[in-house]
Amino acid sequence: MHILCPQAHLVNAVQKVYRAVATTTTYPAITGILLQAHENTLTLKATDLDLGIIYTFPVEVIEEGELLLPARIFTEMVRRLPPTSLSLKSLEDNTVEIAYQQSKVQLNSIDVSQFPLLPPVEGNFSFSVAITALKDAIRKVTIAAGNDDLRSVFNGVLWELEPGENRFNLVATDTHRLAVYHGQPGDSSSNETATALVPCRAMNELARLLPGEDGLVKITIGESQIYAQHEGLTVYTRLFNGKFPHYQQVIPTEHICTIEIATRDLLDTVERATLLARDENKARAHIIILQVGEKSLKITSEAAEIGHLEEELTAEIAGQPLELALNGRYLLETLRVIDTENVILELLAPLKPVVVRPAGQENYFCLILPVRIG
Amino acid sequence: MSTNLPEDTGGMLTVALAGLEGQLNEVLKETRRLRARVRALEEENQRLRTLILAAGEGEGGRQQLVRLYNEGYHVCPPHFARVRGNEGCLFCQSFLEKKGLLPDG
Repeated sequence: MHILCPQAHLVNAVQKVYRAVATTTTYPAITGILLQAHENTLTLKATDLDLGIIYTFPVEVIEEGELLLPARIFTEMVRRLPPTSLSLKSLEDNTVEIAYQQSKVQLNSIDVSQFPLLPPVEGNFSFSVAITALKDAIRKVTIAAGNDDLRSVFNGVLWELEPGENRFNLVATDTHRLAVYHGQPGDSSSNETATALVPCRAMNELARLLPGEDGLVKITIGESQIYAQHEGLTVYTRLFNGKFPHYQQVIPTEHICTIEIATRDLLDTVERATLLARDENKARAHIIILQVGEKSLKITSEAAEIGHLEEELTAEIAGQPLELALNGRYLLETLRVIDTENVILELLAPLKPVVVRPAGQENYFCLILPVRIG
Repeated sequence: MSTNLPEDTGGMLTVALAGLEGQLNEVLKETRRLRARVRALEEENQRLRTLILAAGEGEGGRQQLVRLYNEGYHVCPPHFARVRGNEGCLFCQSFLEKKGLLPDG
């Protein structure tokens, strides 16, 4: 293999696939990045057998071929090379020579045949989604996913496609809170509904890799994998096998009190209250109290060794007064992803889930289960 | 770039680093062993709790669900008998409400 390409293009490509490289050394081939030069393009592939990232970009191919290079040293080296044209050439002795200006560096390569075959993009369901909507959905939903047990279905994001409703839903829960986002898909290949339980890590990687601009990403749901494609980029991940719980049954269908309040004001108050609520007793850590009056919302928090906070915020309140306690960190994380000027809190009872939603937007909400105190 | 370290100091550092690397590997090995042990114990715990609950089925079965939840364990199907900790669970609460059993905590 022999190619010529600008250093900046190679750095960009390597940094895209690097996050899928395996960190363990039990199977050395997957600690490498596979480079395939073909018809004036270079394709980089990396996988840890759960997540895979493939990226293709144009280069000048002098001789087609493939190479498997140790990811860490290759990435670090390419990042540090001068911003000039690079020549990558495989040599007879299983090494690769990277030449730049009047200099060169030689790296040992790994046996290409050891790199696993990546699954072809195939599946019964495919549809497109606007990149901006998908990134927004991932940012808003993954806050509610669990992170205790990486094998758990609660560490995943449920993706539901409902072509009949012209809707897709992303759902995540750690059992204490639940976030739901409704979006509109573009073209869909099937009229049937489909679901996929996608590891949260893969969703976050996808959001990181997609550009911050208009455009569409094509999603394909296969038997055991899901694929996302945008221009030269393909991200795929193994799906969780477990069954996501029937989340609709925990969504309250009624409420006795609605609070509409400025998002920024509430966020600042909750941030201060949570900062204080660092009780050494784990059961009381991060707990803040919400007291709903007729025209204002009072938020208090305390920690025995630190102090006490009490703030009163003006709000539009409809319904009955109520008092409840919840984990301030959960409320804070939710408020941070709400972009509207005002936020709405819907309450039913001291121990029933609180619904937090952006005012004037029907496509997102997050439930937070209050805690019992006293 | 030249270094100001005397040659023997450099050598000692290399030996110390090699020793540290060896110790880190041992710690990693022990962590892996402990993780496997924890997983096995978690699974055993879940099996035992399921057996206890099955033994208590019948008239007291419903109350045992509430007791199990109040003692800090999940009773919802996806997480049944796993440690819940101090925080509530949306699915346990919904499950108990559906059965007409309101949890205490």
